Amino acid sequence: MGKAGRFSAIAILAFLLAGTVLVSLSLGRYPIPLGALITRLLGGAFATPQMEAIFFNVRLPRILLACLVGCSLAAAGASYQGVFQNPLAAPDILGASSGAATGATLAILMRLPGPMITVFAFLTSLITIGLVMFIGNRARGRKIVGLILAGLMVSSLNSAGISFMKLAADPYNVLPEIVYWLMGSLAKTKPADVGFVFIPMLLGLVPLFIFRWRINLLTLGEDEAQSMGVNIKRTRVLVIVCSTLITAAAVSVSGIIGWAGLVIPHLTRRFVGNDYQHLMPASMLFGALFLLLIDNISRNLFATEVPLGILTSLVGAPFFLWLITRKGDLW
Amino acid sequence: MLCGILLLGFSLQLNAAPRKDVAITQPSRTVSFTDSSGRTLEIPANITRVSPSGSLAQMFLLAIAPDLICTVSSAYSPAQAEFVPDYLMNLPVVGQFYGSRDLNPEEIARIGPDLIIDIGEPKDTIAQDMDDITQSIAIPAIHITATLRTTPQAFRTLGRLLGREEQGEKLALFCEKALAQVEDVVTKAGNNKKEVLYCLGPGGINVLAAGSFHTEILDWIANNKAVVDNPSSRGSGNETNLEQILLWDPELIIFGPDSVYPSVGTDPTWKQLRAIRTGAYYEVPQGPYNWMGSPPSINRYMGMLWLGKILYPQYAQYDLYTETAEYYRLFYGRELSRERYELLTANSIGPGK
Repeated sequence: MGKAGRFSAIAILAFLLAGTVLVSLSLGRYPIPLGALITRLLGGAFATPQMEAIFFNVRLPRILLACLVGCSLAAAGASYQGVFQNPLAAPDILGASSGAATGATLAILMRLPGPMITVFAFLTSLITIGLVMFIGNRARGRKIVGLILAGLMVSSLNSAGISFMKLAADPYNVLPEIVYWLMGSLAKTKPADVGFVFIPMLLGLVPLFIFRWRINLLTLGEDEAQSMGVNIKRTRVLVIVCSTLITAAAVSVSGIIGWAGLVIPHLTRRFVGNDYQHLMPASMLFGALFLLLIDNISRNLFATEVPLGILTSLVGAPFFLWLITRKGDLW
Repeated sequence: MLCGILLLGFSLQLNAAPRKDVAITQPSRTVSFTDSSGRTLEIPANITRVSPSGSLAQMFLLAIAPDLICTVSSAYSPAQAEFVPDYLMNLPVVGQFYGSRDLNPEEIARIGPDLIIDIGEPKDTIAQDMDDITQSIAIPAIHITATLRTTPQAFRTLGRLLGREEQGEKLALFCEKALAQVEDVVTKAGNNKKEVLYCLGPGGINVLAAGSFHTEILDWIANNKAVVDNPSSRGSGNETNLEQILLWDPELIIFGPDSVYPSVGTDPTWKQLRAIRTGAYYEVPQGPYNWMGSPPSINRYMGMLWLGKILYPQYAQYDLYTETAEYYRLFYGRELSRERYELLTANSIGPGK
């Protein structure tokens, strides 16, 4: 695909996302007709205060959050795949997801209020990543392998901790809450959640977007990049820290949403190629679009919601199978 | 691009400050109501449709005003159908506020109840939780605290709130009477409480340990032999093993529904226990809910009357069938025939098994 083609692919994604956001705003179990919505967007008023309340407190924050979470997971996935030069790297590779899950489970077990669950998840996710990077750096042999193995092991420790906490949880309130949290959902999104994750996400997404050409260099291999005068170590740390920050922020509000971070960057590669100059913005847009579509299914299909993690797995796992069985290289 | 969308979103958010020019379609008349969490809010004077916030509220509302329920938090099982009016079996299932993330607030708003009611033990964050619901879908949500001891009061409050004073009073009186009857039995038993184990799970080796969330009535009425370091707060109890159960060797065992009850009489290991040898073992009645308290709600009033009767028949002067029939009439609006009662308690009342 030529440069113009890649650019137009990104433009098409941007238009699709904008259109989907608009349509999503009028989609929901509670009827808000497109006409009423447009009137409101143009400065008019909704017919009832209830419509106003639902639109601003339930629907809009949720749609924004779906876009932000999808964007973050996909951007983190694309970055990890570049940094680790591993097509199967995903946001949970360094334990970001399991770390967040441990904090959230602990907070739910301690009956802490909703916002504290998010804060706990965010902090434990960051602590876990810090720990993994510390251990990874001390590991002998190849640093990247050491990091991935450390991530695997610390994730396993986290899982054990979560299982133990589930064992101790009351089955009527606490246990289901933990289980549902682990399945991933945006059903309890509040406007404050968007505010909470907006800053850390911006802090991670903006540098990833700006330094996207440097990730290209990381994929070249250390010696080659070094010879081009780039501080490979610093770049790698920057990319990992940014990706982890956005993963932790995403997971802390949405719970565990699997596969999006793995699938979206690969799918995006099919359209715009491996050049991170284009791959990064396209992945961000595609991730936002993907999760928004999935969340629309979750919101609208049934009266009780289907957790997002289940839906993304239903889409992601078959894709993954196709990915590993098709002809040619994984990249 | 994304930033643009976000900016649009946030600017809309700012615009969302209270608007005075919105044409508000007020409900005909409202009254002030102060709920158990201390919040005072305006609710419709004439309530015709209510949504329970979870299974406990659903159980209370089924007892006091089943015709007002317009959504359920979880579907009734086919086994429960016998005790639940048909139309409730077909109501939309909207998920629960606590315990899961499957609640769909827009669905509740679409169905449009006058009021959302949460009943049970309050969480620490109850006022904030109820405020959040009220604010996000513009439907008032209230909490009414109901523990084992305060359930009668809760029924009276609900009665006033929903215009069902008479039914609320009847339910409250039944609960008060049951509490008094069991209190009397426990007082008479004094320090000679029976040593009991509540065994559940498919293998019967899970015990509900003393001091746990689900053993409130068992710990009150009996001497719960299952003393463990860390009582699990799960309804499925603490997992133990037969060796430990043999060490405890209680005077009497109650088994959860679908446990090993039918086979213990012939099992060589279980037969080592004196409770099994003497036939002092029973199965918890189930219908529409487990009488011992899964979930721990109004079903426990029936459970404690039953426990009092099988543990201390010499002190429990009431007739269990009479009490059970009255309970099912009051709480489920069902006449419980003698035959149905015997089926319900076939494995639950000795001797003669």
